[in-house]
Amino acid sequence: MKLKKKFQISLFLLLLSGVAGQAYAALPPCPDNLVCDFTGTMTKDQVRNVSDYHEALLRDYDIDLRVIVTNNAGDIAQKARDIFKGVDIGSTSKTRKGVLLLIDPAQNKVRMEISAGLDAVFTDGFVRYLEERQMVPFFQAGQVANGVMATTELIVERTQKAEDGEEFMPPDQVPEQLAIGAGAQTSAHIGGGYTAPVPAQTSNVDAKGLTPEQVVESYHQSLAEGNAAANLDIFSSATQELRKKWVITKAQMRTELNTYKNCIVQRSPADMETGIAVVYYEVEKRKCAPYFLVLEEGEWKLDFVTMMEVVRFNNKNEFHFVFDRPPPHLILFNEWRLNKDGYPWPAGKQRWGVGVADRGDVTWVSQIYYKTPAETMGLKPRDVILQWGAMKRPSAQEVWDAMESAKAGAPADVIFLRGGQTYKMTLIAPPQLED
Amino acid sequence: MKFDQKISSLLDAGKISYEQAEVLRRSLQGAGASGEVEFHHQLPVKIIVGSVAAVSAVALNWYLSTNGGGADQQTIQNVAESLNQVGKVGEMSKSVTSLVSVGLFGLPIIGSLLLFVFSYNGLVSKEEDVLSSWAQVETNYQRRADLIPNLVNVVKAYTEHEGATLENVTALRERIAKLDAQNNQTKDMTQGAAAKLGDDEYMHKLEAAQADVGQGVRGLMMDIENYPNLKASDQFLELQGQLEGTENRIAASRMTFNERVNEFNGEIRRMPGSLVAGMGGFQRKAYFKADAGTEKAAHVEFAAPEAE
Repeated sequence: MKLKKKFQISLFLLLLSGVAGQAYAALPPCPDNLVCDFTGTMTKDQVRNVSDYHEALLRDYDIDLRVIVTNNAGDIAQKARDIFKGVDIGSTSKTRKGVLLLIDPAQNKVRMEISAGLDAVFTDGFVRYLEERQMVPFFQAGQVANGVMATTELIVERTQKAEDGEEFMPPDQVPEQLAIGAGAQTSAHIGGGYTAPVPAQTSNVDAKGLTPEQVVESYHQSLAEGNAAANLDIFSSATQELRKKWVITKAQMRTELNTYKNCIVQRSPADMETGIAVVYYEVEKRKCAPYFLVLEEGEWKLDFVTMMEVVRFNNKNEFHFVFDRPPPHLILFNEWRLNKDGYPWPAGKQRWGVGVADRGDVTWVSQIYYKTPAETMGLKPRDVILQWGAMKRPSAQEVWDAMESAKAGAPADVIFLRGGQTYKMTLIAPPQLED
Repeated sequence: MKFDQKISSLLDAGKISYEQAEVLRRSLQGAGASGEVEFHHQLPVKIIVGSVAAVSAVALNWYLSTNGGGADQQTIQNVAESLNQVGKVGEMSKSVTSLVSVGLFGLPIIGSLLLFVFSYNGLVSKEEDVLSSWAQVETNYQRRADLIPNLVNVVKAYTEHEGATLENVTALRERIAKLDAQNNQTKDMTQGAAAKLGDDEYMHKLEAAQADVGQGVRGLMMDIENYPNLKASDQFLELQGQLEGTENRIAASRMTFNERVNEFNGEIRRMPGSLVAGMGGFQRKAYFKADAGTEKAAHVEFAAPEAE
């Protein structure tokens, strides 16, 4: 063909690709189609975090939860149904459980659409409650991604209960048409401004003279009253500063309160020397995270700062410890052993009750277990073992082996370092454990 | 077949849930007093098959008798005759000719038979879709009807508690009473509807009645905006969520129902559906929407609110 025509055609194609390229570049990334933010309300990292969390939700609980943020979606109820059908939400779930969270910042609306069958567990009323009492306060504070994650946490919570109570509809009874208009919507109020809920009537919260356990009870009382004020007397000053930056919702307070209703305090040991205390619960209830306290001006105060650093929750809302360097509080949990991921397990019966650890060529006592012969031997956690019997600078394994192989009643001379001073002690091997 | 069997067959086919089956059963039983509700038998199809078969059998017989099958006429074939017959080269044997003729004659008959059968099945299926989607609409209206007493009680309790300090308490109590009465009336109307899906007037009246109930609920919710203590309670929030959710479900199921009615009505207008419909007794269904002429002006002072 003529050169001119060829040129015209290629120019046209170039323009076309340019336009198409522009349009393509304008769409933000949509990883795995679980979270699609077409408005740039969330950052790329946030989108990825939420997407990861929702992937876990699909894997662990078989719920296909998608998030779409788009502006000017028109009739949001209609749009939600159309998207539900069009994208076939619920198809990646084996039991056909699907949820769509549609956020429209421009129209100030948010809707959560629930698939048929699942709506018996996530009722319209419950979804409305989730939105108003958990999601929207985060949205008001301008934290959309956190709001979505916090809501998903409560969805997980509800799902766990539903699974325990076998509330879910058997998959063969789930209707063919999943989009039936179930769910709820409300105003989103993104960036509208968040204030911590404080009810008109609150009980006077004073930490004076309270034991650690009583301080925790007082905190639960404030939860029951829906009092999210940052500056309560039961919080350490560092905790108060931290709380001022938090979004605390009524739903979270209610959930925390309900969780701890089922938790039975195991012990609340304190170390007056270092001014720390913990209140911990029976380890079988993995959702009952321990409370950390610190002594401030002679009063016990809740130390959420340390808790934030040391305690984490997994997808199933179960707690475990994470730390680079063991915090001093760890010696107070002397009825627990921690596995390699930081999950606590009952320590069980022990012959000696001395925990040893080593790093490099330093071996130290890591724990003196509760109600074991070691409690009366005189060793304390953090004592560095310089010599055990005839062994100089033994490794932890060598100390352990020596303890195991010693006959009942056999003495062992131990030299250790405590507070810069060297001490010598003779320990008598306790009797063997009966099988 | 009787409606019981019909409902059971829908249930077995997975087209409706237990809940919907219950709703339909109750609905159609209520209509039983005014006359048996029957669903179409296989009979028309049998008539079609029978008559066509009879006609083609007669025709075939006549054709064969007049044209012959070759072997009937001559028991011994003259070999010399059939060999090298001038003018007969290229002709098919008479038996094959008859077979082809029968086939050409019979094919359209068989074809139209099959068409009728498929068309009939299609109509039955579409009618079942109309019925099952109506069951969903009725279920949703039932849900709203069950929620309204909760709303009424919550507001009643609140007015009794705060009565002295509330303005317009009498007006509010009147509104509650009216809504309660409307709700009960409309419940009965709805329960009879499954038997009257072809009745345009009935469906319009029902739609209007349900719309009134919807207006009543919205009006009440608007009033409650003025009582922040009531509005702020978690209990009320859940109730509000359920009511709004039900409105949305009603809207969704109505849309689906009207779509199904549209498909069914279209099918019985087109060929060959219209033939089969006439023979089988399929009747046009009414749409569930407000009639242009009977739309009432909103009798509450404010516009229906957007779901908050």
